Amino acid sequence: MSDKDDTERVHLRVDRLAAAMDAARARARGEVPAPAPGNVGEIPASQPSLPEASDESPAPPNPTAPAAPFGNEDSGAPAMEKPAPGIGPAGSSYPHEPEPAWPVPTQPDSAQPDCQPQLSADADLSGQADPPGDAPQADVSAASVPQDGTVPDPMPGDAAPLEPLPDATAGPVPAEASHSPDPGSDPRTEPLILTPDFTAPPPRPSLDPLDDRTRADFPAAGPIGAAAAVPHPAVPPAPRPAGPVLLSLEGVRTDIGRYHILGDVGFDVPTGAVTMLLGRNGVGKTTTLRTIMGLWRARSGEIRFAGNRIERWPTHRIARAGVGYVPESMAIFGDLTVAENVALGSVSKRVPTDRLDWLFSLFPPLATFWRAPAGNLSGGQKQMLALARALVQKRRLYLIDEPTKGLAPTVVDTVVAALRDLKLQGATVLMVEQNFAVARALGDRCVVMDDGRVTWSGVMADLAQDAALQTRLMGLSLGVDA
Amino acid sequence: MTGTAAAGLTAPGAGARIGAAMPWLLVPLLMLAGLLAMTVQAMPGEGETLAALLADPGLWPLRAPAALEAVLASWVTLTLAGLAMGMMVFLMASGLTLIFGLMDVINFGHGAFVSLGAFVGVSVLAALAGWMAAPSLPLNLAAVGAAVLAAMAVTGAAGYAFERVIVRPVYGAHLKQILVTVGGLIIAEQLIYVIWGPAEIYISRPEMLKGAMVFGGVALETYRLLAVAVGLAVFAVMGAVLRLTRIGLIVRAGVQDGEMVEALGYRLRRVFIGVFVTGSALAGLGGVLWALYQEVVTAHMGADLMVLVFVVVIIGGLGSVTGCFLGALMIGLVQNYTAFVEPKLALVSTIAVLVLVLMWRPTGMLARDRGRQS
Repeated sequence: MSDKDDTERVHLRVDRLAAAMDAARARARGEVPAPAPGNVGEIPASQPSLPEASDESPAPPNPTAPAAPFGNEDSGAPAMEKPAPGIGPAGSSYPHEPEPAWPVPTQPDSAQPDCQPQLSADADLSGQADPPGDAPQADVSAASVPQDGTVPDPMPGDAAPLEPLPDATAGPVPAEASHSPDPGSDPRTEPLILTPDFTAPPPRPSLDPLDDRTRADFPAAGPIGAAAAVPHPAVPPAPRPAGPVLLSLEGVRTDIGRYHILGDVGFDVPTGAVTMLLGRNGVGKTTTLRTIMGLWRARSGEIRFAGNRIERWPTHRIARAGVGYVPESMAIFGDLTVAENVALGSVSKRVPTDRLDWLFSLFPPLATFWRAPAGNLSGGQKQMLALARALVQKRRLYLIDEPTKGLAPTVVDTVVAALRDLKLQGATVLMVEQNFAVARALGDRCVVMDDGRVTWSGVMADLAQDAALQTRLMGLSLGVDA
Repeated sequence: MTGTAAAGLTAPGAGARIGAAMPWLLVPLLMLAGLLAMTVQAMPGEGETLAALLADPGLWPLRAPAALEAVLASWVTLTLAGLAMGMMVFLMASGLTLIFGLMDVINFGHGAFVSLGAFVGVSVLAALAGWMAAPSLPLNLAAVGAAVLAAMAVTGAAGYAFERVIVRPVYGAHLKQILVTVGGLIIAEQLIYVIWGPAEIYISRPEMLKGAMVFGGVALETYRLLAVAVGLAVFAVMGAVLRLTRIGLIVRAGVQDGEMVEALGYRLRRVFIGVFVTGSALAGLGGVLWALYQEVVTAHMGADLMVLVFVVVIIGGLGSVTGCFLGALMIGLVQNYTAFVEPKLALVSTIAVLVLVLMWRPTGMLARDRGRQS
């Protein structure tokens, strides 16, 4: 991507952000429908936890923070009922569709008939209720790219209505911004689709001492954590899965250094299903996987795998018990050949040939570069190798951390097809995934985390069909094309 | 697969290939440089100064052949001495580089195993004085072999104890590792004083390993040939183990990313103990060979050698056995050539090589690719 494109995109985002702020002010003046009561009810859930914040950030006349609505009712709902082409419900032909995995531009009038020029800004403010194709349309037209119904730039993040921008709307104190009930004005409300040029999110607010106090004020009250302990009309926790459970976490707390990363994590991973671990950046998803793997030690809590308490086991024993791990960093051994990397993944001395043939059919580049040093592979090929290294041995559970992170769309298709194949074999998978389209396509169940706690768990389809729920749980702006 | 993904592997250009082979080329290049320096130094005739000769290029073709002929025998002797010294340093350094590469443990106590091995070996050789004095190569070699085996067994066992008692409590804390392992080195030296007494012990080489063999007018010291042969054999065996066995595969992977090796189900700690014991035993082997080379042993010889050993480990690239091998040869050659050509420079030559290599490759010649790349 050229610098010019980047510059244009930044300008566009700034423009859209400014328009969004205008719209917010208009709303505050009462020109736009009132906020949805159900959503406003969530405000007390996080606000009282920050009594000191108001001292440090005396910005009461900020109209966007308390008064701005989610706007789901007026703009999100119609879009909800109209799935975007190419992205069907879970189990659809997602990887085989020619369309990419992010919202595809549609005609704005069909998506939102009653909004005019300010449509883009309005939708941006409402954040999660961004109709499909709205923002891309703005991008496409402004960048003078042919409007042929495809997204020419392979960066899915272009569909983002708002990139995380400096605290233009968030007020002077980031911690308060993170607790703001208005996702439209929250810079962390980036879409869950990661892009190769994704910029780092703002610092994780829970690393702030302020937030530690917050957590101390809300000792966890069960597997759902503090968010559920505060009375508000949130979704009740979905019942734990009915079938056999392979892995279960109960009250797991993990510290890294002096930071409390996992506050109280509890969920079940049913046997033979794909469980998705969702949540924004920095909420503890990777730490959860590393804690299961024994790479971080849980300070307290129980981790049960196949009937055994494994939270005190050394990492190699957990792996030997049948847990395959694909870390976020991929952790390829660059000095070793592709063959040697795969051989290390096989516990038995000889790599099983049937599994190898299967892996070659999934990831042809691995056969091509079988004897080449793995350090010379491209990023996508390294991800294929990381997956192959975990899959070459049949394991009882696979922990897969963001397998599509930073990959080109075609490689994402390859990876998703492989994971679907794995799923069809009846494998048990716990997977972190930021790309909600991928998560929806693969996941059977879903666990949503926020701030080191599980805030929701249940059936993936329930979450995929409920944009309001996505909004509430993850500040997910892409749910509208469900 | 699209073109972008499939084109991920690009064929390395000629420059990249030369760059990759450069550490290997440096050793013969150094030999040539040594020959050139010695020839130039020998070119001035009676009453001539080198500067005057160099200022007159017309004289060069007249003087060069004679000078070359005059220094050739010395050059061969020096080269063999350099290679032998490099091989012995490699034996001591190879364990250290793997110990660091695998578990990030900085073991300043490694020199203790050199001293300990030397004293054990010398004790065994003293007990086998009859075999040593016999003018029979098999008996002489048997005596040396017995000394080496005893030294390796003792230093291997000492390494196991050192790892358990001294190193294990300080995993991951580099400052503590330095302090504690230096402390371990001091304790080991004092224990040697307690057991063998404070005096240095002189030892002569076995009868058949004294003197030199003459090939075409060039004298090759027998013991140096033996040292080179042992060093090459150890390097070959280590390479084969690292390349061809599963343990070697785990070690090579663990040097890059130990955490991932654990996550794949391997007990890296157990592998590390094996590497630590092997490295200590190799240091003991190096100690015996060094003792017979110098024909004297002192309790602090290991600590003295550690400076050279650390330089070799650093210029080779931490964790790389091959880099360690090449670095050791380079250091041995440079030290011997400069000691001949300009003795005053010999003291700084090692540091000069270190500086130049680090300016060229700041992580060492063959530094490992430390994982975590994405």
